[in-house]
Amino acid sequence: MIPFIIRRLFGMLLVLLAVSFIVYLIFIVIPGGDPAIRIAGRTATAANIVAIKQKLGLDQNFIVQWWDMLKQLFTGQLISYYDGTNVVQQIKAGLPVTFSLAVGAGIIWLGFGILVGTIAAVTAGRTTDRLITAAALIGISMPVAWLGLLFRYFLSGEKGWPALFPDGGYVPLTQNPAQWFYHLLLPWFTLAILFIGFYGRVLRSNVLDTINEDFVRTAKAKGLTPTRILVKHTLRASLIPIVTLFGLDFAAVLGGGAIITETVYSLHGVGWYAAQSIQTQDLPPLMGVTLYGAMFIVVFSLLVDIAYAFLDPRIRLT
Amino acid sequence: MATTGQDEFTLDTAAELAEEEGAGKEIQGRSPWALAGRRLRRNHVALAFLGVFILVVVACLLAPVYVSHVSHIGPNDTQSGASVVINGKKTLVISNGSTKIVNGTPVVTPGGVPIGPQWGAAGGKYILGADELGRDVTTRLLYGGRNSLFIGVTSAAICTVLSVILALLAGYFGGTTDWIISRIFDLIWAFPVILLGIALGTALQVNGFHHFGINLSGSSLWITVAVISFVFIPYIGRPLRGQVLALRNREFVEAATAQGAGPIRIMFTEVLPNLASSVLVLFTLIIASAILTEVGLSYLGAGVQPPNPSWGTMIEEGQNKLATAPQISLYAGIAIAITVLSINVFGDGLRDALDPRAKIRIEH
Amino acid sequence: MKRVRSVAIATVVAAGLALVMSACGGGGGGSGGTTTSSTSTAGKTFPTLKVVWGTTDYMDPGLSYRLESWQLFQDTYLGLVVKARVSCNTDDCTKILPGLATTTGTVSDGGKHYVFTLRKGLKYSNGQPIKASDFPATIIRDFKMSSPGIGFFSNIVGSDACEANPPKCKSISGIVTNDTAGTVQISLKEPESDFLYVMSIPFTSPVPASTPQKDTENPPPAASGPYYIASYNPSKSFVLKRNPYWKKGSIPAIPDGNPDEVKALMTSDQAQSAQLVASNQYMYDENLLPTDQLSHYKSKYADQIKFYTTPSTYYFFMNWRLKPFSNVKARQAVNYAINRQQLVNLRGGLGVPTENFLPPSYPQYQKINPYPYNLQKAKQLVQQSGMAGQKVTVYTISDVAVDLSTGEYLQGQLNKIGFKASLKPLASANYFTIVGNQATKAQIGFTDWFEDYPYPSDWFNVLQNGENITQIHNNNYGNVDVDSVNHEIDALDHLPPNDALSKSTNSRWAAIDKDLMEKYASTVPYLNGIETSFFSSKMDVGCDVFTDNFDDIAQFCLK
Repeated sequence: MIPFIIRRLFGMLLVLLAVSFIVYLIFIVIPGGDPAIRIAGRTATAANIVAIKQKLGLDQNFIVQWWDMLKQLFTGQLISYYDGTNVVQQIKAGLPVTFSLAVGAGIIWLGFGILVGTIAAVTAGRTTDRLITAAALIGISMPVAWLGLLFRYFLSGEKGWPALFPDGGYVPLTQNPAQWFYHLLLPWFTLAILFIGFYGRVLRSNVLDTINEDFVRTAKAKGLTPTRILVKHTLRASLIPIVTLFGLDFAAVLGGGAIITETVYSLHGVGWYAAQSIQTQDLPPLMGVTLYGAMFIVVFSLLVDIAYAFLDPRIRLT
Repeated sequence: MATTGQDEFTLDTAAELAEEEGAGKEIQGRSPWALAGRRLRRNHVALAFLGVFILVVVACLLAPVYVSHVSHIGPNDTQSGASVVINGKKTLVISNGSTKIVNGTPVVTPGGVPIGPQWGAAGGKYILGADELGRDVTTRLLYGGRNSLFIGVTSAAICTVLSVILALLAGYFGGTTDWIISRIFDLIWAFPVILLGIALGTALQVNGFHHFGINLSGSSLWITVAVISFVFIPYIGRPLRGQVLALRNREFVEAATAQGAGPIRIMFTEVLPNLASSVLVLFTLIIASAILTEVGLSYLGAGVQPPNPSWGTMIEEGQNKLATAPQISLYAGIAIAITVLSINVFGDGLRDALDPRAKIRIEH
Repeated sequence: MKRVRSVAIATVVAAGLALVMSACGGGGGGSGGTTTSSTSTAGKTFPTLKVVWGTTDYMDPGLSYRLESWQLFQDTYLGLVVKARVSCNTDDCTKILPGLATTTGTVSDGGKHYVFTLRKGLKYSNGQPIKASDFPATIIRDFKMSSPGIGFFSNIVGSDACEANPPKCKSISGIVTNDTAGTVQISLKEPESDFLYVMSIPFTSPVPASTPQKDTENPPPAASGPYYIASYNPSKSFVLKRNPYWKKGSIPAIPDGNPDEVKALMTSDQAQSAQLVASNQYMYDENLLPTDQLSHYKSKYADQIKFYTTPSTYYFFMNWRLKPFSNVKARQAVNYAINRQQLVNLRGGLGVPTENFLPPSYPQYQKINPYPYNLQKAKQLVQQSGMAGQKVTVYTISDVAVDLSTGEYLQGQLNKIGFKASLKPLASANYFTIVGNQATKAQIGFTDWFEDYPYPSDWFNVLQNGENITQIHNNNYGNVDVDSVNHEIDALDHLPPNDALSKSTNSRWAAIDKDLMEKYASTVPYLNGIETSFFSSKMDVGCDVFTDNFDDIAQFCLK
């Protein structure tokens, strides 16, 4: 186990380095043009452009620049080109929002996904199953942006109907727990619908497969009740792939992957910050946000693999 | 997973079919593809949705016909000051708003509201209404569909081809090749998908792509295609690689090697056909993801560039006009939902037909 | 300056603005009449004012060039002189009054020499006394930070040396101060008609000499006004508190302020900010009302909304140095091809169509109408110009919906009159930088201008003077360059002090406006902007004072 983890950690580091390099390439090399002029923003003279180049190290070879940027990021001193704010602080400021969104939505989609998938599997082939499957398929077919807009429009007073929900925005938990919860309900559901549909289907499929496995047949033969079989044997086995999926999806949302949901509902989390930085082609925040997100993904990948090995005795980690 | 539309579980294997056909009759050998086709044909719901998808594609392809025969308004044809005749009455396409200064104070008359869906009351014009520049929403929906579908299908195709090649190479050769390709998969995988998509899309949109002899302007659709194809490679590549690894050690591959066949030949004539059903299913399902991704990218401004329509840009255009002109965003979203749903249902049916035990799953 | 979410780059490399604003003789918008401060709303204090605000570029008076910040600076960073804090409808809101100085300056040497004396006993919000030497320190700080305002200082003797080598700049020879006497003496190279106005904008508002010579926002520099900015979280929030060292009534022109504290939430989401005020969670919405819901808000909250005209013009620039707009007929064609009413419609009706470059509130404004909408005529002119079929790229802003639609409209019209037009939308953060760079070769595009101060030199000299064209950070996007016009602009900037607002001077400015449009079709002005101020039901709208670009939050009061 330990050598496995160490090897994986080493691999993760390489991946993160490569990710940062690619982000750098994307924003400096691809667009071409002189970044100093873009960054100079408000200054007038050629002398100032030169000064900026020197200050930001843009006159150096781009490998050096990339390395410098990484160093600044890890010492918490990375400054945005666009508005001079500290990238790490801005990311930290967005964390409560993104975490609130991710945790709440995660609980909802995992819970409902399992519930819905189990019911569908148990009533397989009957009307309930078909309805659930239909709903799930519709759920995964709707674009998140559109769904969010519709919710805001119909339920948040934009159409002129009474507002059942707040029209976007975030209230910190420490400031007002009730409002925090209320403001997050619509975003949670918007984000969760997609996943509930997907997880429901995957679980249903897994359960149906597992039902045909030998150990379930043995349990039946031993005379256990259907419920007990379902919960203690079938579900346990079927849930394993769900756990791994959830680990990765949750990591993605935590890592700022819910950009669209955060944008539609004006939630100023890490994903929102990423979208803003991309608009302004502001490289330092992009570097910060991408590495932050990538870090979650690789770490959770590792955790998920380990969890999988624990849960499924058939798996050996190599 | 068994699809909706079948009355009960049946694996439709040759043996079961033979049972159905009655004892004593000769068991006919049927190829897996024939069996799959049979299962698919019996799945009426999947076929129905395939039909819906085809309808959508045909409608979008016929967009120019729609313009010349029905709406007479092109996708980028702004009609800001125009009027249409609705039920005999001449009405402005965009209502007039103004601010008059009365005794030094501005008196505002709100306006700028485009007409809503006419459903034929204005001839063939503005069946689904107009947008804030007087463009015909239905026309844009159809042309937008062309762009969105083109991007979705093409990027899925390119992605699938690339992934298959990479998976074959990785799975067959193993060793260093496998290690490198797996790390490439990991690398792409590690990027938050939408972030990578937006980053690439935005960076390329500024000046286009002018390297390696390829010249693409910033507003070219191929840039979005390239971005989406790239981003989904690990989603197809990894599961396929797993299958190639499993297949590689099978006897028929050994046999082929023993007969002196070279690696390329083996990969393409022995391994690939066994992957075919997975590839087909994955391809279908990636089309759905690709279309949704294009919508997301265009919504965030990193996909199709205005004024070109796509379903994603239309959602973005209409988002702060929901109170006065909901038709701009609403129908685009419905079109997307219907199209993607059709693909998903058909994809499910295809998967069940090809492999009722459904061992293929897209890793998310 | 430019409007919301647009990067403002306005370095005016002015080749000598000249003329002194006379203290009498009215000026600008209002209907003359009563002068000075608005103590009518005094004595209506209340503890907290909660506001929703738009996002801005900086909160440093030396760097920010946005309305959102300048609206706060008027109550925090005072200049030696200030503009009157009165409502343009009822009073002369363009009048210059003494601020930190005791008078609006003693002028001599034909308008080339000014002496100001600081009031005694004034202190910043951090307790430091306001010293005369803080003024040149602030100007030098602006140079060192490459502030967009440095162009306004080019007429000060000795400023060239500072601009050429900011790191080595320790003093400006044309600014001489005496801290004991509290005097500030400024020598100009030439008389300048708008100099007192320049002295009233935030770039010249003194900050303590000890303020770091870089962007200072955490917190912003110590303030001289009745309030100071206690905290600022970019794009998130800010808080204003009363300046503990402000003496009530110490400066007649500046109200002492009603709210004890101002707490702001910053967002660019118009729908959200309007709803926050409608639901009484916040008391004032600085953002524009969402045009999509304008009808709804207007009918439901009629007595809580105020509309204001602003001294602003939205226009398209056309690049004279490139085909097709190097040809005057092509430029005239574009003017004929724009249905200005439709552009007002894109704003939901919040705008007044115009073909003048100057806004209607100016005494130098004389309405012209040389290009009534006529698509046929436009097509003919394009043919005659020989530019038919030319490829044109229309530049516009991508992330502000109205600006994007406006660009699409322009593109559509250009295609209708015979060009091959395509669209290039750019993020607002980069837009003006890219368009202001000659290397971009932008042929035509969207832009707007809100006055920095109410005098035509802020318009013509900055935006259409051929002598102020630069390689990068150009403000004359069209590279408009007519020798006779350039000379006339310069001449009008060098008139003796008392002639700045004479009838003949006003007519000459109006003539420039007319010629640039009728003879040269230099740009395509299309509308003047209308602003909205939305108050919650708790606020007394009668206290609202709109000082020509924005409301004065210090004068807000409760019902």
